[in-house]
Amino acid sequence: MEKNDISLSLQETLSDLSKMLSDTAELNITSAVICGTPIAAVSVEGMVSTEQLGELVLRPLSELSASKTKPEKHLLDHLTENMFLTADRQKIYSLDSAAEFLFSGFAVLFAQGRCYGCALGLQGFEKRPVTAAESEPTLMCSQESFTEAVRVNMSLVRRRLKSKKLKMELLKAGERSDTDICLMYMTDRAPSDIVKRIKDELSHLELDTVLTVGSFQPFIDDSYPSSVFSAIAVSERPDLICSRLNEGRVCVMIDGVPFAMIVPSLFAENFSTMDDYSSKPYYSAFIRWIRYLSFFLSVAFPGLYVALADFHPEVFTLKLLLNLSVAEEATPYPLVAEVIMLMIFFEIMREAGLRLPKSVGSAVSIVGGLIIGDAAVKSGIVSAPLLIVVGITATASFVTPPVEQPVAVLRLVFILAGGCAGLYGLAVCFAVLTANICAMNDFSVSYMSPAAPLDASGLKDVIYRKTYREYESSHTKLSDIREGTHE
Amino acid sequence: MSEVRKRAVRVGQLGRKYVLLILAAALVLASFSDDHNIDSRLLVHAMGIDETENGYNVTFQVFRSTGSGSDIPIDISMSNVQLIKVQAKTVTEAVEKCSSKLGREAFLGHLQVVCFGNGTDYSDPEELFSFAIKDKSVYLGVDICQAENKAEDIIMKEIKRGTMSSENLVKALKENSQKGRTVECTLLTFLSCIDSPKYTAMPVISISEQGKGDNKEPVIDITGTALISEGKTLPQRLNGEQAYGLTLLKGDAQKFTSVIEKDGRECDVRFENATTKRSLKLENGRLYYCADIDLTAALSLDIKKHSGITERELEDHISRITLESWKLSEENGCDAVGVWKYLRQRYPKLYLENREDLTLIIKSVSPRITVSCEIE
Amino acid sequence: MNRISQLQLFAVMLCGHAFSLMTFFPYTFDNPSEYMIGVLISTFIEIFLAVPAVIIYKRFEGRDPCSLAGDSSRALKITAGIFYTFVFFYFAYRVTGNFVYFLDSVLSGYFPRALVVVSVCATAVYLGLMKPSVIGKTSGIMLALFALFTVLVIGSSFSSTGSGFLSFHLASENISHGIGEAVKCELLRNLDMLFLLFFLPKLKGSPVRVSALYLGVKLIMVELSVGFVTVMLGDFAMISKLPFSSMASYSTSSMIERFDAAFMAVWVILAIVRLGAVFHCSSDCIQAVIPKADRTVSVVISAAIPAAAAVYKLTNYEWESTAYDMNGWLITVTALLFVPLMISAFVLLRERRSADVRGA
Repeated sequence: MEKNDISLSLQETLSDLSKMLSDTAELNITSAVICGTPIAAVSVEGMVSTEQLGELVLRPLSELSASKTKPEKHLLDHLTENMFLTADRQKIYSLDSAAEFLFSGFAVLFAQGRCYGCALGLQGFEKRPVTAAESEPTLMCSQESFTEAVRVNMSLVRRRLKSKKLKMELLKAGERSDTDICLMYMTDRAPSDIVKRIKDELSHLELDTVLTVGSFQPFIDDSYPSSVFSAIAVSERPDLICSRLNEGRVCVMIDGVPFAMIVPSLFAENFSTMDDYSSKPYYSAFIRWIRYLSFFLSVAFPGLYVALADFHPEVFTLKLLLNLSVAEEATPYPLVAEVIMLMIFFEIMREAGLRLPKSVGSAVSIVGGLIIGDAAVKSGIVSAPLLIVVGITATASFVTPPVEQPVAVLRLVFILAGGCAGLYGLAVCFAVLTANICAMNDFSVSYMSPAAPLDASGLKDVIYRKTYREYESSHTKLSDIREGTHE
Repeated sequence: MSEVRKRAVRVGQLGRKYVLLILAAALVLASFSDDHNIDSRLLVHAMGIDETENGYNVTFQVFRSTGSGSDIPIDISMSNVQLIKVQAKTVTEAVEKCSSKLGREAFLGHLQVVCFGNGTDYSDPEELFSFAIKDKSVYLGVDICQAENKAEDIIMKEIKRGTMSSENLVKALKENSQKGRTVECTLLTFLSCIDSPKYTAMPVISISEQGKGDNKEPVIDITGTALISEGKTLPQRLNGEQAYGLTLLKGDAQKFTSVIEKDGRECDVRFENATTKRSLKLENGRLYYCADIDLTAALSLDIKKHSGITERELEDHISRITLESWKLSEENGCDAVGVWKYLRQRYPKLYLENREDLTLIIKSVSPRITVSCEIE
Repeated sequence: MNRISQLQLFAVMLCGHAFSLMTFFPYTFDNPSEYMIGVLISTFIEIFLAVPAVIIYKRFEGRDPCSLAGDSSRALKITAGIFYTFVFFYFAYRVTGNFVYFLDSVLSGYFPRALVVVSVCATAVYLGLMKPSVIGKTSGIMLALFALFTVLVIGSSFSSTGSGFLSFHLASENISHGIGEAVKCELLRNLDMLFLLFFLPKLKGSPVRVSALYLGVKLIMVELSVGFVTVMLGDFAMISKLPFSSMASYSTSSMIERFDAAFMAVWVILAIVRLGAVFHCSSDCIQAVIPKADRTVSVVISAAIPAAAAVYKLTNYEWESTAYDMNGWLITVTALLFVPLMISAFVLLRERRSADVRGA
């Protein structure tokens, strides 16, 4: 059985610690005798900054040793009570805690004759610098995005929201990974039941590791198993997180993941960006409607094209129908098969573009888009109008990245429904999808709010962007859109 | 959440998944019924229907592309049609036969024009247009016209202007009705007559070849407006001016250009902005159809030369053509003006008493036309 | 308990009626004027049909008739449950059958009728399994879609209006008979008012506002629709099988040749919403009779039995007579007026007896 207590004997402590950590090679133990007391500085390779360790810890210890002045107290007591050493300093009383701190980038000092250790925050592990957001780029807003280090992310939020009501709680999750989770919320706006629920779920989480946002979502999103969309949004932008926090949402950040979860979120929020709030309302409204149109095109355009061409050709104007008819006559496959082939090919291209090195990425787009597409039309496998449809759909799907994943699947569903049953099939699919979205009611917040249930003032911000003078007089709050009792 | 509640939620979720599975299966199975591909349809643009002793001779203009390469799917210098002639007992049967001949389902959703031969019996529009009633894809605004002789002569002519041949027929009909030279007659006009008195007017169309030698091109001409009374075409026809007079009396007149002679000189007069206030009055046991016509006129000879045409003369001209139109139509038993509708609305009892033979009462209605014309 | 707001319930009811309106005009009328007058008179009668819901709301804290009947006796509860189950079965049977029958006309018989029944009922079951607020929210969105579609069609049709105003007349052999038939027909089509009774326990607020809004908007909607269709199509409006579809197919614009396909999509969605609400309420009635019945099972039964009956008639091509049969108006009046009043009377009687016994 592993010993957890810190022994008075330094050697025993170090031996127990090493055994507990399975004699891992990354453990660095630097021992010395300072003022007659054996002391050891334990750290994990690559987790602490060796410069800071040398400058802030080893140098003062060396100076203490060189001065030949023995402190009045025990060496470790003197270090913890009479010296600063580092900004983040904590006493630890068990080897479990020692391991936790060591793997969080702390250096731990053990000394002969004391059954506690001193953990010093000297994080120096390699981390990505703060860069621009790749998945949510903007033109006129902050170019900073979250990184993998949760503490850096906390600072990015705190810099923008200096409110005393902003609370950040650090919790742990993952039975083996012990991942740091940061819970952020405004104490005067965030509903306490949401905060409590998230904390409860985190504390009862039995997963071994929490490495992605997807690990935790199913536990706090009630509609996760049955809904197409997710009631929990994910963002890598600190400015967006700050605006959501101000509305009373709760944000969850996972150490190692450069994205924060926003609990709960609304469907309409997938179509707004921070750029909307930097431009004039009329332009923001215009571009927002472009996004709504793009969403519709990306989901329904191919299915609609198939349904109309096969079942309702009278809807097309005559000349358009003639061109479509001529184009389809030469192709060997039914229209629905052509569309599905092209959409799957597009998904392959998109996935390849994500995984390939950047240097090859442009070659893939040239090969895929121009050569294969053009060759497919010239060889008569697909028709030219279809390529236009797929091109528009593909371009439109990049306009709303937050919903890209469900849209990719929905698109295929709509194509199949339109190809099998025409506009009747599309109408049925649309009814099912609408019911599915309307059924999402996480944390007593309807996902379709403010459209359903109808909230006229909220709907204004969906149809047209409110002006800042209007925001001045009435701040958007989560409590305004919560329904009835909260189970 | 209690265990019972959790179980109910799980059962509900499972139930919804099974329901979605059944829905998907139903939709997929439904697709196995018929072939609905766009390229398995025959796009019919125009139909010509000639009545014969044994039924009908129906001529179809069907789209066939004559593209000059993969980059240009349709060559607009060609007529892009295939002509098919079929004989059958009913028009619906003729459509089926056309489908059988070409091995594709006839698609009438973009039917542009239906041309009837001279002498067709329109007394049973439900039977005559059953192909359009059964097929919901047929547009209610399909243009209907009558051929000078046989409809086959019109439809069989390939006109190589525009994307396809029938486009020219439609444009000619629309242009002439907008210019007031004839009336607009659509499928809806006939379908409305199924349960109502069968009075209507329709354009008469002919095609002649103009040009020299190999450069002869077919040219469309609207030769008049036919009058239909109780399903029969009257021998009298309206010319261009009289057709305008009819549209003025009906209240849906647009523009019209007439030539008026004054002091040995011809002057073009363009009439437009016409409004007609119509009513039916019963005075001293006699019915009067009152039409107050207001319109403006623009004269061509008023820049350097003065035409000398007065507003009074223009009003007389309009009165004359409307009266001529009235005489030719109403007094011959064709209520193309629609007096019976006013009778039905204003004097329902009188209408019901005479419903079996409205022609008699229509013939007894006297026109009271006042024209007010303003020269621009 | 999951609640439905007043606006959402209004949307559910109006969607249901919009489906009927978009389906067909009763063919027994010679002219639209009779129908429009009949609709006006029936709306006044329907005000009385809403009275029992208001009484139950005010006097009995908003219970549905079946659970209210349980206050009198278990036997009455079961009887009421069975009665309303059959009323909802009849409602679902008519809606399913009409939907499939008229869909054939629009889609020219592309799909086997049985499969259309299965697919539309499956979708409606999916919706019916949801909570009342979900049905309400879905209806709200569909109603907005319906309004948008109607505006589009009307906007595209303006140029095509002819002398259709002359089709409004009263030249009918027996006007009073025609108006009477219109009243009966409109009463039959107003089975949607049953939603007022059965969503009452879950309604946030009073049913007075809902019924006033529903009756007012429904009247305007029907009159304007019938009027506009008549102006556009003239005499063809009353003889067309699907007048709304004919009007949609007559509307044209430069981008979209015709709107009848869009009409069909909106009409399908409205049918699903109506059926979903029917199945939801019907399952409440089944659970009143068999309290241990699972919600999923009872919704499926609510769909399966009427669908099976409809499929039988549809596949034998015998539906036309059922579609145009307007004699079911008595069911509406009985279910909305007489039975709830009777149940309320029984409950009040029992309360009085209990009070007398306690007093004694």
